[in-house]
Amino acid sequence: MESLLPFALAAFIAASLTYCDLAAVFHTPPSGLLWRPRLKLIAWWWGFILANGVGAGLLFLALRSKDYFKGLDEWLIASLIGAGYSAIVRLKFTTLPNATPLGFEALYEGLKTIVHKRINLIVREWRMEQSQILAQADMGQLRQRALLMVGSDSLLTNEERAKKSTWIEQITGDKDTPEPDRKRILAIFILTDLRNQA
Amino acid sequence: MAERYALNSSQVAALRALSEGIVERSALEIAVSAGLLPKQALAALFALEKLGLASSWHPVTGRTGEHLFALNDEGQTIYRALASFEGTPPVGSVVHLRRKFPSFSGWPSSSQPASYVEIVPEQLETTLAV
Repeated sequence: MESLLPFALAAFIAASLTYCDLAAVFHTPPSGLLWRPRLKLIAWWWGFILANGVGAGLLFLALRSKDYFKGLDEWLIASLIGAGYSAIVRLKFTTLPNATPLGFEALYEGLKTIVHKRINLIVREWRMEQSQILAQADMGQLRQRALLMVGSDSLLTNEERAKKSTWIEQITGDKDTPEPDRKRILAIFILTDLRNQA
Repeated sequence: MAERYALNSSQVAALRALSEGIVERSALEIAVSAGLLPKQALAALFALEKLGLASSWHPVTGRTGEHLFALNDEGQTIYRALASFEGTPPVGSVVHLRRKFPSFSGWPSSSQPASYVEIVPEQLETTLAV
């Protein structure tokens, strides 16, 4: 029972870091999803966060009495394990012949890849469907809306705002790209947080 | 063997837009994310693929049917090395690649080749084995 709260702390820290990691890659999940893909998205998203939290908690239970943590407060040990969880599970014990790594890294990275791919599939399908619908508007409307979004985005600096506005004008007038593609690009820009990445 | 990668600003932007490489993206999405024109984005992505930094494929069963791109391991190493820069480093910059930490049995570090990325002006991209 004593260990339950430090266990929860390690789990909470690792889960929070996993949430930040997912949010940095996928940004916020789209709100217009149908119930079935939404349930799948929630299951993959929160399932991965929960799994990492539980993993960090179990790691805390396994490592707390080791010599290198002797004399340290349990709360501090839990914080260290929670914060260092992703590094700890990536530890490589040795390298086998032919440069084959031995450790949990391959397993962890494999699981992470599966989860990211599944989430990406759901988000991409939503994005593609919605961008096709949005791209039915005319080019002038899409340009106007994209410029308005850039103009009202308070996270952008003046320099970034000018750069993105120039890019929108370039896309709108790009004669090398067919109009349907230009409209899709502006639609993707409007629909997603991809605009805040570059 | 040490390796030198020469990347121009469009390729750096496309590489950064591919992020960690775990998720695959279409050329149109890369164009949006990297702030490039579709033609520039596609050229940069194919150049990255030619340099062995990215992979691409047409999903067979996917609903979108678009040509998708993702970074491979070497591309991810470069992505991480460039992560400390805001935007594209200036032309002429040399960015050393930090490989994943070697295991103790992989010591000494002489077994880790010293590789780097050089930022070059547009149209000077290539890779050389030094």
